[in-house]
Amino acid sequence: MIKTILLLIFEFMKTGLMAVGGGMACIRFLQDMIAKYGWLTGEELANIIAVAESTPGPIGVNAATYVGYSVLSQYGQAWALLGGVIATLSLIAPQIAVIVLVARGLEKYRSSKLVNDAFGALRPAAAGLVAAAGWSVIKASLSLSFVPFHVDPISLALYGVLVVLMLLPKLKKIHPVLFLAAGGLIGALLSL
Amino acid sequence: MLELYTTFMKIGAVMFGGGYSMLPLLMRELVDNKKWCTEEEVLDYFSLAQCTPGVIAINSATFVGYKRGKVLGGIVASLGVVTVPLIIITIIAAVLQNLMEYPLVQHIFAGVRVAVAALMTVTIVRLIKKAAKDWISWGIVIVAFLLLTVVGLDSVWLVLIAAAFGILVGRWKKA
Repeated sequence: MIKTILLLIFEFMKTGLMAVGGGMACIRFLQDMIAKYGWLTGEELANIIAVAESTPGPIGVNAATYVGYSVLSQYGQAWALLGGVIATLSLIAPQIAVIVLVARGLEKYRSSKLVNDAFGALRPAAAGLVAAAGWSVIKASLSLSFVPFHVDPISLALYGVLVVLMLLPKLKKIHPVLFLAAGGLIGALLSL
Repeated sequence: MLELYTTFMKIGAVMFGGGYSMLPLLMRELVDNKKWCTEEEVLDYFSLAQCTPGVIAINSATFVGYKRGKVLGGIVASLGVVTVPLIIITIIAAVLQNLMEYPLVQHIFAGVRVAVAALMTVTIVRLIKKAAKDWISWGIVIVAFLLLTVVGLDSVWLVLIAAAFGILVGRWKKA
Protein backbone atom coordinates (compact mmCIF):
# COMPACT_ATOMS: atom_id res chain seq x y z
CA MET A 1 0.00 0.00 0.00
CA ILE A 2 2.85 2.39 0.86
CA LYS A 3 4.18 1.72 -2.63
CA THR A 4 0.82 2.62 -4.20
CA ILE A 5 0.68 5.87 -2.22
CA LEU A 6 4.21 6.81 -3.26
CA LEU A 7 3.41 6.00 -6.90
CA LEU A 8 0.27 8.12 -6.62
CA ILE A 9 2.26 11.08 -5.31
CA PHE A 10 4.96 10.66 -7.97
CA GLU A 11 2.53 10.26 -10.88
CA PHE A 12 0.34 13.21 -9.92
CA MET A 13 3.31 15.50 -9.30
CA LYS A 14 4.56 14.53 -12.74
CA THR A 15 1.17 15.42 -14.18
CA GLY A 16 1.07 18.82 -12.45
CA LEU A 17 4.58 19.58 -13.63
CA MET A 18 4.36 18.33 -17.23
CA ALA A 19 0.75 18.43 -18.48
CA VAL A 20 0.92 21.40 -20.84
CA GLY A 21 -2.57 22.24 -22.16
CA GLY A 22 -4.74 22.41 -19.03
CA GLY A 23 -7.14 19.91 -17.51
CA MET A 24 -7.78 18.02 -20.76
CA ALA A 25 -4.04 17.37 -21.11
CA CYS A 26 -4.06 16.06 -17.52
CA ILE A 27 -6.62 13.47 -18.68
CA ARG A 28 -4.03 11.99 -21.05
CA PHE A 29 -1.56 11.69 -18.17
CA LEU A 30 -4.24 9.91 -16.13
CA GLN A 31 -4.75 7.48 -19.03
CA ASP A 32 -1.00 6.84 -19.10
CA MET A 33 -0.84 6.04 -15.40
CA ILE A 34 -3.88 3.76 -15.20
CA ALA A 35 -2.55 1.79 -18.18
CA LYS A 36 0.93 1.58 -16.69
CA TYR A 37 -0.13 0.31 -13.25
CA GLY A 38 -3.47 -1.29 -14.17
CA TRP A 39 -5.23 0.93 -11.62
CA LEU A 40 -8.49 1.36 -13.55
CA THR A 41 -10.04 0.34 -16.88
CA GLY A 42 -10.60 2.80 -19.73
CA GLU A 43 -14.33 2.61 -19.10
CA GLU A 44 -13.91 3.41 -15.40
CA LEU A 45 -11.77 6.41 -16.28
CA ALA A 46 -14.38 7.53 -18.84
CA ASN A 47 -16.97 7.42 -16.03
CA ILE A 48 -14.66 9.52 -13.87
CA ILE A 49 -14.26 12.08 -16.66
CA ALA A 50 -18.05 12.15 -17.02
CA VAL A 51 -18.44 12.97 -13.32
CA ALA A 52 -15.56 15.47 -13.45
CA GLU A 53 -17.24 17.29 -16.35
CA SER A 54 -20.64 17.47 -14.71
CA THR A 55 -19.65 18.62 -11.22
CA PRO A 56 -18.36 22.04 -10.14
CA GLY A 57 -14.63 22.66 -10.15
CA PRO A 58 -11.78 22.34 -12.66
CA ILE A 59 -11.94 19.06 -14.64
CA GLY A 60 -8.27 18.26 -13.99
CA VAL A 61 -8.70 18.64 -10.23
CA ASN A 62 -11.99 16.71 -10.12
CA ALA A 63 -10.59 13.82 -12.14
CA ALA A 64 -7.42 13.71 -10.02
CA THR A 65 -9.42 13.54 -6.79
CA TYR A 66 -11.61 10.76 -8.19
CA VAL A 67 -8.70 8.69 -9.53
CA GLY A 68 -6.83 9.03 -6.22
CA TYR A 69 -9.97 7.94 -4.39
CA SER A 70 -10.54 4.93 -6.67
CA VAL A 71 -6.93 3.72 -6.59
CA LEU A 72 -6.88 3.51 -2.78
CA SER A 73 -10.51 2.42 -2.35
CA GLN A 74 -9.46 -1.25 -2.26
CA TYR A 75 -7.96 -0.57 1.20
CA GLY A 76 -11.21 0.86 2.60
CA GLN A 77 -13.13 4.10 2.79
CA ALA A 78 -10.67 6.04 4.97
CA TRP A 79 -7.76 5.27 2.66
CA ALA A 80 -9.86 6.15 -0.38
CA LEU A 81 -10.58 9.54 1.16
CA LEU A 82 -6.89 10.05 1.79
CA GLY A 83 -6.11 8.96 -1.78
CA GLY A 84 -8.31 11.73 -3.16
CA VAL A 85 -6.59 14.33 -1.00
CA ILE A 86 -3.08 13.02 -1.80
CA ALA A 87 -3.70 12.98 -5.56
CA THR A 88 -5.15 16.49 -5.53
CA LEU A 89 -2.38 18.03 -3.43
CA SER A 90 0.32 16.21 -5.45
CA LEU A 91 -1.21 17.61 -8.64
CA ILE A 92 -1.31 21.23 -7.50
CA ALA A 93 1.96 21.43 -5.51
CA PRO A 94 4.35 21.53 -8.50
CA GLN A 95 2.00 23.91 -10.31
CA ILE A 96 2.09 26.38 -7.43
CA ALA A 97 5.90 26.15 -7.37
CA VAL A 98 6.15 26.78 -11.14
CA ILE A 99 3.76 29.75 -11.02
CA VAL A 100 5.58 31.33 -8.08
CA LEU A 101 8.86 31.06 -10.02
CA VAL A 102 7.23 32.48 -13.17
CA ALA A 103 5.53 35.28 -11.21
CA ARG A 104 8.90 36.28 -9.72
CA GLY A 105 10.51 36.64 -13.13
CA LEU A 106 7.33 37.61 -14.96
CA GLU A 107 8.88 39.97 -17.52
CA LYS A 108 11.80 37.65 -18.12
CA TYR A 109 9.48 34.67 -18.66
CA ARG A 110 7.17 36.53 -20.99
CA SER A 111 9.93 37.92 -23.19
CA SER A 112 12.15 34.85 -23.04
CA LYS A 113 12.89 33.64 -26.56
CA LEU A 114 13.50 30.14 -25.23
CA VAL A 115 10.05 29.94 -23.63
CA ASN A 116 8.30 31.44 -26.65
CA ASP A 117 10.09 29.09 -29.05
CA ALA A 118 9.26 26.08 -26.88
CA PHE A 119 5.60 27.06 -26.75
CA GLY A 120 5.49 27.52 -30.49
CA ALA A 121 5.73 23.72 -30.68
CA LEU A 122 4.12 22.93 -27.31
CA ARG A 123 0.78 24.51 -28.23
CA PRO A 124 0.11 22.26 -31.25
CA ALA A 125 1.65 19.30 -29.37
CA ALA A 126 -0.81 19.93 -26.52
CA ALA A 127 -3.66 19.89 -29.06
CA GLY A 128 -2.38 16.49 -30.25
CA LEU A 129 -2.15 15.36 -26.63
CA VAL A 130 -5.76 16.33 -25.95
CA ALA A 131 -6.82 14.67 -29.21
CA ALA A 132 -5.16 11.43 -28.05
CA ALA A 133 -6.97 11.74 -24.70
CA GLY A 134 -10.26 12.22 -26.55
CA TRP A 135 -9.55 9.27 -28.84
CA SER A 136 -9.16 6.94 -25.82
CA VAL A 137 -12.44 8.21 -24.36
CA ILE A 138 -14.22 7.76 -27.71
CA LYS A 139 -12.91 4.20 -27.98
CA ALA A 140 -13.97 3.36 -24.43
CA SER A 141 -17.39 5.03 -24.81
CA LEU A 142 -18.42 3.52 -28.14
CA SER A 143 -16.92 0.10 -27.32
CA LEU A 144 -14.76 0.68 -30.34
CA SER A 145 -12.02 -1.80 -31.09
CA PHE A 146 -10.52 -2.72 -34.43
CA VAL A 147 -9.35 -6.25 -33.72
CA PRO A 148 -11.92 -7.79 -33.72
CA PHE A 149 -13.85 -4.98 -35.36
CA HIS A 150 -16.59 -3.95 -33.00
CA VAL A 151 -18.61 -0.83 -32.36
CA ASP A 152 -21.92 -0.27 -30.63
CA PRO A 153 -24.16 1.16 -33.40
CA ILE A 154 -26.62 2.94 -31.09
CA SER A 155 -23.81 4.64 -29.18
CA LEU A 156 -22.18 5.63 -32.46
CA ALA A 157 -25.43 7.15 -33.73
CA LEU A 158 -25.99 9.05 -30.48
CA TYR A 159 -22.38 10.25 -30.63
CA GLY A 160 -22.81 11.53 -34.18
CA VAL A 161 -26.04 13.36 -33.38
CA LEU A 162 -24.54 14.98 -30.27
CA VAL A 163 -21.40 16.16 -32.09
CA VAL A 164 -23.50 17.76 -34.84
CA LEU A 165 -25.81 19.40 -32.28
CA MET A 166 -22.89 20.76 -30.28
CA LEU A 167 -21.31 22.24 -33.41
CA LEU A 168 -24.50 24.06 -34.43
CA PRO A 169 -23.91 27.78 -33.89
CA LYS A 170 -27.43 28.25 -32.53
CA LEU A 171 -26.87 25.70 -29.78
CA LYS A 172 -23.47 27.06 -28.76
CA LYS A 173 -24.98 28.85 -25.78
CA ILE A 174 -26.41 25.66 -24.29
CA HIS A 175 -24.41 24.57 -21.28
CA PRO A 176 -22.40 21.36 -21.93
CA VAL A 177 -23.78 19.82 -18.73
CA LEU A 178 -27.23 19.74 -20.38
CA PHE A 179 -25.82 17.60 -23.19
CA LEU A 180 -24.34 15.24 -20.61
CA ALA A 181 -27.72 15.03 -18.86
CA ALA A 182 -29.41 14.33 -22.19
CA GLY A 183 -26.89 11.56 -22.84
CA GLY A 184 -27.65 10.02 -19.47
CA LEU A 185 -31.39 10.19 -20.07
CA ILE A 186 -31.11 8.57 -23.50
CA GLY A 187 -28.78 5.95 -22.05
CA ALA A 188 -31.40 5.06 -19.43
CA LEU A 189 -34.29 5.05 -21.94
CA LEU A 190 -32.49 2.87 -24.50
CA SER A 191 -30.71 0.71 -21.90
CA LEU A 192 -27.38 1.41 -23.60
CA MET B 1 -5.62 35.76 3.72
CA LEU B 2 -8.94 34.34 4.84
CA GLU B 3 -10.70 36.53 2.31
CA LEU B 4 -8.34 35.24 -0.39
CA TYR B 5 -9.21 31.68 0.58
CA THR B 6 -12.98 32.19 0.67
CA THR B 7 -12.99 34.14 -2.60
CA PHE B 8 -11.24 31.33 -4.47
CA MET B 9 -13.28 28.72 -2.67
CA LYS B 10 -16.36 30.42 -4.09
CA ILE B 11 -14.85 30.48 -7.60
CA GLY B 12 -13.91 26.79 -7.34
CA ALA B 13 -17.41 25.94 -6.17
CA VAL B 14 -19.32 27.61 -8.98
CA MET B 15 -17.04 27.03 -11.97
CA PHE B 16 -18.12 24.28 -14.31
CA GLY B 17 -16.29 22.39 -16.98
CA GLY B 18 -12.66 23.36 -16.84
CA GLY B 19 -10.39 26.35 -16.90
CA TYR B 20 -11.94 28.32 -19.74
CA SER B 21 -15.21 28.84 -17.89
CA MET B 22 -13.24 30.51 -15.11
CA LEU B 23 -12.41 33.77 -16.89
CA PRO B 24 -15.80 35.51 -16.50
CA LEU B 25 -15.89 34.41 -12.85
CA LEU B 26 -12.41 35.84 -12.21
CA MET B 27 -13.44 39.10 -13.85
CA ARG B 28 -16.56 39.45 -11.72
CA GLU B 29 -15.00 38.47 -8.40
CA LEU B 30 -11.52 39.99 -8.65
CA VAL B 31 -12.14 43.07 -10.78
CA ASP B 32 -15.74 44.08 -10.04
CA ASN B 33 -16.31 42.85 -6.48
CA LYS B 34 -12.94 42.82 -4.71
CA LYS B 35 -11.08 45.30 -6.93
CA TRP B 36 -7.87 43.30 -6.37
CA CYS B 37 -6.80 43.38 -10.02
CA THR B 38 -7.49 45.32 -13.20
CA GLU B 39 -9.15 43.65 -16.15
CA GLU B 40 -5.82 43.67 -18.04
CA GLU B 41 -4.06 41.93 -15.17
CA VAL B 42 -6.64 39.16 -15.04
CA LEU B 43 -6.43 38.62 -18.81
CA ASP B 44 -2.65 38.59 -18.54
CA TYR B 45 -2.61 36.03 -15.70
CA PHE B 46 -5.14 33.90 -17.52
CA SER B 47 -3.13 33.77 -20.74
CA LEU B 48 0.05 33.00 -18.78
CA ALA B 49 -1.83 30.27 -16.90
CA GLN B 50 -2.33 28.56 -20.25
CA CYS B 51 1.38 28.79 -21.05
CA THR B 52 2.38 26.92 -17.90
CA PRO B 53 1.82 23.24 -17.17
CA GLY B 54 -1.14 21.85 -15.24
CA VAL B 55 -4.71 22.84 -14.50
CA ILE B 56 -5.39 26.38 -15.76
CA ALA B 57 -7.65 27.29 -12.82
CA ILE B 58 -4.91 26.47 -10.29
CA ASN B 59 -2.35 28.46 -12.24
CA SER B 60 -4.61 31.53 -12.43
CA ALA B 61 -5.43 31.27 -8.73
CA THR B 62 -1.74 31.02 -7.80
CA PHE B 63 -0.91 34.11 -9.88
CA VAL B 64 -3.55 36.22 -8.15
CA GLY B 65 -2.74 34.74 -4.73
CA TYR B 66 0.96 35.43 -5.19
CA LYS B 67 0.24 39.02 -6.11
CA ARG B 68 -1.86 39.50 -2.96
CA GLY B 69 0.24 37.56 -0.48
CA LYS B 70 3.44 36.13 -1.97
CA VAL B 71 4.08 32.36 -1.72
CA LEU B 72 1.61 31.78 1.10
CA GLY B 73 -1.04 33.69 -0.86
CA GLY B 74 -0.46 31.46 -3.89
CA ILE B 75 -0.87 28.33 -1.78
CA VAL B 76 -3.96 29.66 0.00
CA ALA B 77 -5.70 30.68 -3.24
CA SER B 78 -5.04 27.28 -4.85
CA LEU B 79 -6.23 25.38 -1.80
CA GLY B 80 -9.36 27.52 -1.94
CA VAL B 81 -10.08 26.41 -5.51
CA VAL B 82 -9.78 22.68 -4.71
CA THR B 83 -11.71 22.68 -1.41
CA VAL B 84 -15.30 22.33 -2.64
CA PRO B 85 -14.53 20.04 -5.64
CA LEU B 86 -12.55 17.74 -3.32
CA ILE B 87 -15.52 17.38 -0.97
CA ILE B 88 -18.10 16.95 -3.76
CA ILE B 89 -16.06 14.37 -5.69
CA THR B 90 -15.32 12.38 -2.56
CA ILE B 91 -19.02 12.20 -1.69
CA ILE B 92 -20.00 11.27 -5.27
CA ALA B 93 -17.27 8.63 -5.47
CA ALA B 94 -18.41 7.08 -2.20
CA VAL B 95 -22.07 7.04 -3.27
CA LEU B 96 -21.43 5.80 -6.81
CA GLN B 97 -19.29 2.94 -5.57
CA ASN B 98 -22.46 1.25 -4.32
CA LEU B 99 -24.82 2.51 -7.03
CA MET B 100 -22.67 1.20 -9.88
CA GLU B 101 -24.07 -2.30 -9.35
CA TYR B 102 -27.53 -1.22 -10.56
CA PRO B 103 -28.17 -1.76 -14.29
CA LEU B 104 -30.06 1.55 -14.55
CA VAL B 105 -27.03 3.49 -13.27
CA GLN B 106 -24.82 1.61 -15.72
CA HIS B 107 -27.14 2.55 -18.61
CA ILE B 108 -27.14 6.21 -17.53
CA PHE B 109 -23.36 6.21 -17.40
CA ALA B 110 -23.11 4.54 -20.79
CA GLY B 111 -25.15 7.45 -22.21
CA VAL B 112 -23.18 10.12 -20.36
CA ARG B 113 -19.91 8.57 -21.57
CA VAL B 114 -21.06 8.93 -25.17
CA ALA B 115 -21.97 12.57 -24.49
CA VAL B 116 -18.53 13.12 -22.92
CA ALA B 117 -16.90 11.61 -26.02
CA ALA B 118 -18.92 14.03 -28.18
CA LEU B 119 -18.04 16.97 -25.95
CA MET B 120 -14.34 16.12 -26.09
CA THR B 121 -14.53 15.80 -29.88
CA VAL B 122 -15.95 19.31 -30.16
CA THR B 123 -13.34 20.67 -27.72
CA ILE B 124 -10.57 19.02 -29.75
CA VAL B 125 -11.87 20.46 -33.03
CA ARG B 126 -11.84 23.98 -31.53
CA LEU B 127 -8.43 23.46 -29.92
CA ILE B 128 -6.84 22.24 -33.16
CA LYS B 129 -8.38 25.13 -35.10
CA LYS B 130 -6.71 27.50 -32.63
CA ALA B 131 -3.35 25.73 -32.45
CA ALA B 132 -2.81 24.62 -36.06
CA LYS B 133 -2.22 27.71 -38.16
CA ASP B 134 0.40 26.65 -40.69
CA TRP B 135 1.74 23.39 -42.10
CA ILE B 136 4.36 23.00 -39.40
CA SER B 137 1.89 23.29 -36.53
CA TRP B 138 -0.51 20.95 -38.37
CA GLY B 139 2.38 18.52 -38.67
CA ILE B 140 3.11 18.76 -34.95
CA VAL B 141 -0.57 18.11 -34.05
CA ILE B 142 -0.70 15.01 -36.25
CA VAL B 143 2.72 13.63 -35.30
CA ALA B 144 1.97 14.19 -31.57
CA PHE B 145 -1.35 12.34 -31.91
CA LEU B 146 0.23 9.43 -33.79
CA LEU B 147 3.19 9.17 -31.40
CA LEU B 148 0.81 8.87 -28.45
CA THR B 149 -1.82 6.57 -29.97
CA VAL B 150 0.08 4.39 -32.45
CA VAL B 151 3.61 4.36 -31.05
CA GLY B 152 2.44 4.52 -27.42
CA LEU B 153 4.88 7.23 -26.39
CA ASP B 154 4.61 8.44 -22.79
CA SER B 155 3.05 11.92 -22.55
CA VAL B 156 6.01 13.24 -20.55
CA TRP B 157 8.35 12.45 -23.42
CA LEU B 158 6.03 14.08 -25.92
CA VAL B 159 6.08 17.34 -23.92
CA LEU B 160 9.88 17.25 -23.60
CA ILE B 161 10.40 16.45 -27.29
CA ALA B 162 7.97 19.18 -28.38
CA ALA B 163 9.69 21.77 -26.17
CA ALA B 164 13.12 20.79 -27.53
CA PHE B 165 11.80 20.83 -31.09
CA GLY B 166 10.32 24.30 -30.64
CA ILE B 167 13.60 25.63 -29.30
CA LEU B 168 15.56 24.04 -32.17
CA VAL B 169 13.20 25.51 -34.78
CA GLY B 170 13.56 28.91 -33.10
CA ARG B 171 17.37 28.68 -33.34
CA TRP B 172 17.24 27.53 -36.94
CA LYS B 173 14.92 30.36 -37.98
CA LYS B 174 17.28 32.89 -36.43
CA ALA B 175 20.34 31.46 -38.18
